[in-house]
This record gives sequence, C-alpha cells and structure tokens, in this order.
Amino acid sequence: MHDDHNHGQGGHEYGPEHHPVQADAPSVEPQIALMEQALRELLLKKGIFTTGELHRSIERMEALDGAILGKKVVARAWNDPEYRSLLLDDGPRAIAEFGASLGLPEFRVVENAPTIHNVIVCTLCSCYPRGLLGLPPSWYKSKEYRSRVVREPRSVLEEFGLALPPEVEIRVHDSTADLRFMVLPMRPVEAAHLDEEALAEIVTRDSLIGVGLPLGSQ
Amino acid sequence: MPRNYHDYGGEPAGPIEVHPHELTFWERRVDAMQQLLSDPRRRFFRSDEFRLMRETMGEAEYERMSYYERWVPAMARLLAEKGIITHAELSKRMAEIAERGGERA
Repeated sequence: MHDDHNHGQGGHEYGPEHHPVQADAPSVEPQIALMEQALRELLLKKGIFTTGELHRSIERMEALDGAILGKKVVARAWNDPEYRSLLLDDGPRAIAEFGASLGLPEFRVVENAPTIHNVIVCTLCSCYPRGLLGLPPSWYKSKEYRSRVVREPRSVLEEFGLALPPEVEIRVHDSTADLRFMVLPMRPVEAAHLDEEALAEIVTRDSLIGVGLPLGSQ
Repeated sequence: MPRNYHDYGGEPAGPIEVHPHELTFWERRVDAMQQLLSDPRRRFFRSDEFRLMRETMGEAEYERMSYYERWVPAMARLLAEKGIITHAELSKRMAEIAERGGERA
C-alpha cells in the first residue's frame, strides 16, 4: 500500500465536506491501546523507524488530505481532451504527470456520462486511491456503505442527497488491494468558461467517489 | 463456499452516517505506522497480506473492534510472522507498560 507519495502541498484547504473531530469519538479498547503502544515502542527501540519518521508520516497523510490531487487531475481532463483520453486509457501514466503514483498494479478512471453514473466502493475492506483522494471518509469504511451500495446504489446515493433520474444507469466499482478506481464526473454546464485552476475548485471529493456531483451541477 | 465475515457486499445494513468524522490522533498514528512499515524502504508487508490478517482475526474481534483498532493486532501478527518482533517480547512490553501505568511522559 505504497500509495501516499508525498505530493501534497501541506495546506489545509478543507472543502465543504470537512467536519470537525467528533467530540464523542469512540475511545480505544484498553487492551488494543496497550498493544499499540508496546508495538510502537518496540519498533522504535529496534530502529525500524524513528519518532521523526513517524511524525513525518502523519504530516504526509494530512497534506494528502488537505490538497486532494484528484481535483486537479479532473480539471485538466475537462480542459484538455488529449489528457482526458490518456486518463481513461492509462490512469497511472496520466497521474504521473502530476508526480503522483499509487504504487499499485492497476488504477482505473471511470467516466460519468449523461446516462451513466459511476460509484466506487471496497466491499471487502477499504481500498481507496489515497494518493489522489486523501484519506477515505469514515463512511467509506463503514459496514453500512460497503454492504448496501452494491445492492441498492440508488437509495444509498439518495442518502447522500444525490437523487439521480431513473434513466441514469448506476455502475458500482468494487476496489481491491491491487485495483483502485476514481470517478471522472461530468463538467457542469455552467463551468464552461472556467480555467483549469477554477475548475479544480468545483470538483468535490465526494464527486470523485461518486456519491456527489461537482459544485454547480444540475 | 460460505462467505467470510468481512465480505459485506450486498448484505442488509442500516443507514449510512454520511457526515464523516475526522480521524483522532491515535488513528492517524496507527495509519502512519502502517504506512511506514509497508513503504518502499521497509516493505515488511503488502496491503493484501495486511488485509488477510484482518480477514482471519475472527468474526467476534472484527465486529467488535473499530476500523483502526483492527489494524493493531493485524500489524503485530504480521511483524511476528516476518520475524521483526516476537509475540513474547510484545506481551512482555505490554505488561511493563501496564505496570508503569500507561504512556511514558
């Protein structure tokens, strides 16, 4: 899972999907907390990693989360037909142009169309292209999302506030450890005049997973 | 073949909590540790091996533990299998920490 190469920019430009830390975040089982501490201390003592490396690893993760690279990738695909073709044909090569690598055998971009809407999930665990999308939101890892989105995607999307017309076919893509997906949403009609930088700002994290649409979509 | 407990796809389940909560510091640190252990320099395990640990930990543990709680015994078991640590030294360390009353200042 070497998918968190450091290409974030360190900023915290949280989008509208940002929510504060839950005040009642569940506490850790005491025995697990003990095991985690013992494991961490042992690995530090053995020189497997240093405290500095651990802190930098946390910072890298936060940087990925603050600057979701997938938004820029989509903005370029909307503005540059050649890049769009490359992205759909060879996802890993296309994201390499942004210095990103998921370190996986396969990465595929699935494109929405007027009658096709794509959604991604990992029913078996929580596989997710974090190098492009940051950390998976808590619901992506939940039993409820993993169970239901493959069986009743339309009602699941409605829970996210996305009601799709009945003529739109919903395609659900189940990720694995070796194959991950990102959705290429449709460019909103009103966004026709925007440049690449402005376009990146209307792409939401949820629209890259498929449970939302870019800002300004009808 | 009966499906394993982690294989949730298509099962009935309740409503989705669509407003995500941010990770706690503890969760971030567990995630960061896993990233280091599987990074190109260390490469102690791959994500499929790591997943297997969670898929074979037993249904009761899997369902009881939170997402990142599951990662801790999964990492410990893998590192023991790879000879990086032993179960005995981990247990000893856990006992020592419990005795001194938790996190060292």
